[in-house]
Amino acid sequence: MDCALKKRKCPICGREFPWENNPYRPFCSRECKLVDLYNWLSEKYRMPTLDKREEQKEIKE
Amino acid sequence: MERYEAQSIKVLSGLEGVRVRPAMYIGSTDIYGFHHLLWEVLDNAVDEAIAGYAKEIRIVLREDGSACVEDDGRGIPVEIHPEEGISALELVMTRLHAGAKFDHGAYKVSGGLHGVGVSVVNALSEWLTVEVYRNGKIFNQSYQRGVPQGEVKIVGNTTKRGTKVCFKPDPEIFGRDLEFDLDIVNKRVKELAYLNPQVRFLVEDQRIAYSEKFHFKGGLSELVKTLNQKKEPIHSKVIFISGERDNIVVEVALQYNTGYTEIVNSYVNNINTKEGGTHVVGFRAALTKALNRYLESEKISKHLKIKLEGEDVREGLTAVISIKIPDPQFEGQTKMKLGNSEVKPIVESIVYEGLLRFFEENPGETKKILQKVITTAKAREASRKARELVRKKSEAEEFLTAGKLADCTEKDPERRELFIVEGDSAGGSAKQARDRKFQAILPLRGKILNVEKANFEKMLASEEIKSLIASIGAGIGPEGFNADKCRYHKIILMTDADVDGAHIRTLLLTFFYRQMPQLIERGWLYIAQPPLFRVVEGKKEVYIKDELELDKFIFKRILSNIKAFLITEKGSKELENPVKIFNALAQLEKELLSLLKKNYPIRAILLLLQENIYTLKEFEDEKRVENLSRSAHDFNFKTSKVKSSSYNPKYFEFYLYSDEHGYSHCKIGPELILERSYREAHKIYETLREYEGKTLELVLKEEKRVFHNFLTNLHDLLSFIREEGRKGLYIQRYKGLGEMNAQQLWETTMDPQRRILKKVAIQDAEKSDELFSILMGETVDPRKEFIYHHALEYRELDI
Repeated sequence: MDCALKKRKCPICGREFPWENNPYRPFCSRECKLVDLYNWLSEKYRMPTLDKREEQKEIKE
Repeated sequence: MERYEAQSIKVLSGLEGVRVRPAMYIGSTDIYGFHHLLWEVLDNAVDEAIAGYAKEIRIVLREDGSACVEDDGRGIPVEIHPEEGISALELVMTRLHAGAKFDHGAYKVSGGLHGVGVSVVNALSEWLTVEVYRNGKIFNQSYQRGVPQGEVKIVGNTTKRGTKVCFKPDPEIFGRDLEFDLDIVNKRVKELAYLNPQVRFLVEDQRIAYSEKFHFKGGLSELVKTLNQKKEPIHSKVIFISGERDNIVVEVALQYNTGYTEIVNSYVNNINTKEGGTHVVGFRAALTKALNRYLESEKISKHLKIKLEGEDVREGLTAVISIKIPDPQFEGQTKMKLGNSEVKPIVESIVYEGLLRFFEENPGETKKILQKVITTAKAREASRKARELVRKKSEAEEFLTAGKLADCTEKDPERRELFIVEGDSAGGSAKQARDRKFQAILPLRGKILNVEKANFEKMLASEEIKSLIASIGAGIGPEGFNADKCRYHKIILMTDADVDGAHIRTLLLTFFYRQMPQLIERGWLYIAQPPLFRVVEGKKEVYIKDELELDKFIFKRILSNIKAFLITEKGSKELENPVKIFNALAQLEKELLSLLKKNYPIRAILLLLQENIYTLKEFEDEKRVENLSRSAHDFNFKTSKVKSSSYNPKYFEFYLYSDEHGYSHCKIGPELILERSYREAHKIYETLREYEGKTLELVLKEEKRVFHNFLTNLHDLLSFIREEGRKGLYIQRYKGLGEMNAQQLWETTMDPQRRILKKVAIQDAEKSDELFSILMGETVDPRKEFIYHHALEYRELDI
């Protein structure tokens, strides 16, 4: 229910866009979809993580 | 008189050529050539204005088919020219290229398309009259087809200054059908008005009693704004740059819009150079250079760095370039391309310096422009890479044969399954365990980078992404991807139940959601559910999915040894089914813990549950919310004032501060109801409500333990049972798939008869994407904070 009420925002540019019948979903445009693909292929998406030791500590807590 | 006639014959011989081959001088004798005459006269008036003498130019289209242009400049000199012996005015009007000769240096620059001058207009007009207002007198001379009808005469006195030229294009040259077109005239005058903001233009069409003023004080900037009128500019301020070097005056205005097309209008001496030329080349070079230079500077964060190419700065660009140059050379088929090679470096350096200055002074506007061009650059790169990936089939096949993907033999995609397995060792076990008829294995590994001392970043290497794309076989990119070509109708993510696994899973889910959402929509993406525990009791062994199932197992086991009594005033009463209560308590605990991770203190949640708060409606009543806040206060929580909710002003909410777990705060308001965990907790609490405030006595063999108010102190009760229930059991917690041997992996996770698969819904993927976006966020500090606070939850992200 709350999912349907939420407006979709393009993950790249943040603009709101319609989901239905949008071939570029979940993006607003072809360009943004391509930018995202570029980011994947050029290893721009990196998740910051904890140091291994700290990670262990966190889990034990 | 004779002398004059002799003179006029000589002059006429010069203009004769113009009438014989008019197209050589005005391009053509069609509607454009016809209007060219007017432009020529108009340009002379504008030149006078550029030189700083004229402020107003009046264009009149008359009923007899003639046109007049009048300026308020200095007026063409009427004195006798020392070398030629005739009035300078007559010289200008009758001698080809005479303008430069008689007034060399008077104008730094001049319009007039190819410098043919007003004499050409005169030669091609049935008649022409010129009036000069100078030194208090009105001078007049008339011509027919270029031939003066008498000398320059003084016809009256005036206080005006300036020149007025009226002429009627000759039907012998242009035919009888052509006439001045108001739209064409207005378009040109408007253009001139933008290019020359210091001049006021008046257009009058006496044929239809029309008159209009054109005066655009904003000049080029205003023109750019007008061109962008129906578009959505991405920065409000139009960039305006002007400068002068070696007698070349450069003016540039530009603004980016959200569109993808480029509008660059260029002018040389007020003439639209439709084919561009050296001035446009210089402008483009400067724009690319300046943006790249700014990107290289330290002000820009690292992840935005990308080398821009010329085409990247074109999308959504609206620009007007106007230069004034003494000696333009035009090239190209229509002579609408500037050829002067010295112009490029001058325009380039003026624009480059101007842009850098603008960037320096307007960092906010600049940032928006950079975002636009970087997006374009990335799209270009992505498009290229996507094309390569799709085109290079051999490359794709290379991946398939490289041994990374262990494919299956089944041909029907509906029956084929692809397991994407995290890590090489688990990949190895999976390869042994699988049914190679219909199960394919693709091992994937996250790459860890040590960015700073204790700062690690995790990602999917591009090689991994490529092999994923190649294995799925449905292509990639907005045009390249086709879900119908997907080689597997079950794509199963199989990752470890630790933080690493959660990271890889989030990355993969986000990738599928963003680049292949159709596969999720078709229900082809799944998550394997490997067991978290192996429990051995004597010779028996069981696999258990998660903590909750483990609790259930333990509670059930303890049942034979335990008796539970509810203590009331009337005495004690044995509970028939204590396990049911234990299970409910364990579930409640799980939800409370997950709310705790979002900073909702357990005691506060229990208080709300006791108050039976479970709909949004409860928060519409300000009094009710006030009472809640007071109750929380009585429980030693600090609370803020009750205020209208930021979620929706019709609700009320307050903040609650707890120093139980360091300094933290949460919002008690409508959004709490939207937390799934809270709603679950409420559901479970309802089944337990009858035990509010009750005491429970447990009898275990000989031992007796009493738990007062056990519903509120559920943790103590659960800890005790768990401890007792585990006695005599060997419990192995799987930290990774690699800890299972092939047989175990098959039995628990891969065998279609026994495994549990969770189908990924688009909403699940969307959640992953949100999490991913938070983690990718630009600002480092909140991101870090998020990780530290949610590391545990993240591990258990149960999708």
